[in-house]
Amino acid sequence: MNRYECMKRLAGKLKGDELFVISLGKMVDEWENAYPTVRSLNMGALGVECGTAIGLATALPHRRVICHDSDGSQLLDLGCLAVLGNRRPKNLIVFVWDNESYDSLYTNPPLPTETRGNVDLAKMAAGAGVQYTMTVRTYEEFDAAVEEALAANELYYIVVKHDTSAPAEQLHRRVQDGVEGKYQFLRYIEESEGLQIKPPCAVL
Amino acid sequence: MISMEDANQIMDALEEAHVKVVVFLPESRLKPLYSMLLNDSRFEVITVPNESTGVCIAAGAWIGGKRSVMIMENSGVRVACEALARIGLERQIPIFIMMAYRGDFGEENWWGVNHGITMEPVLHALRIPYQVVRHSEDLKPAIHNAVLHAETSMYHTAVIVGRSVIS
Repeated sequence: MNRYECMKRLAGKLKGDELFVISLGKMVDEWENAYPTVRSLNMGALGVECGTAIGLATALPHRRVICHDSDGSQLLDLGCLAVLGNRRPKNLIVFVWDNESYDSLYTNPPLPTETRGNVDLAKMAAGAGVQYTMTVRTYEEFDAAVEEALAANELYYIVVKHDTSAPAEQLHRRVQDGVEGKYQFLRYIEESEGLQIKPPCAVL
Repeated sequence: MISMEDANQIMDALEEAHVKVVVFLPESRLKPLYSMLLNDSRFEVITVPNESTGVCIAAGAWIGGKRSVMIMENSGVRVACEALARIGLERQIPIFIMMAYRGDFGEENWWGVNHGITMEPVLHALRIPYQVVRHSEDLKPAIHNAVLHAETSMYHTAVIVGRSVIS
């Protein structure tokens, strides 16, 4: 499977008020093209997405949070699996975009992550206590998994096995740096939730 | 170990600062605080197996509109260093950290000394402003100031509870 094709399929099934936490590399540009929105928080690093998504889902339990993570990133923060399994936030869906490679830039040959060997992240999540885990390998399986997760009110952990191919179309680059993207997201949360997270002057 | 009175003082200060989400990885010096937090309905408490996971959760809660704190031993700042750098230096999402000062001057355990050797240099490297609290009466103002300063600077802050308070 091609990741961008999967992302476009996901984008077509969303309600329009979901919040997204996303990793780094070309995945960010692909999501930006598949689903351009200020509701995406681009973390730009490995090993921080899932934890951030758990915190966001905890703060806003009435909002659906979708985490776009990767195999390399999950492997860097396996501690989050234990938190997911014990807390089971019902408003969180974790997609692990697993190309079995430390490569999101379409370079060849892609260097392997541990999931190219015996490591099975979905089974690890299940072992940590996550009830709804699956690994999908075809577009049909991906569509079915997305529909099931979006219809449910449960934590889902979906490992998407995809290849390292580039998108078939030319994509534009996301231009916001981390700080600008953070503020876009933050101001959207403030407006949509009626909150003041970063007022002009901090007050206790 | 910290006294029940000081643990209560910390929880009251967190409540006064409108901290809603408390993330922690427990250790022995602040043990009464962790035990009391688990049974205190004023806070959403999240336990973690790794300090790096913990600071990420604290960051996510903050950007979702809930003030948060990560409480841990000071060895945790080494574990969480990469996540703190990414979230703070790249994103400027502030994380308020409270730590027990293992390895403070007068440390009685050989294995605790290294925590003290590395903590302040790591905080300096990450440019995290901090206050070491050595008197119980300074706990509340230190917590209040750390919460305020984190949001004003949009960067991490730390309160380190010194040996005179936790021993």
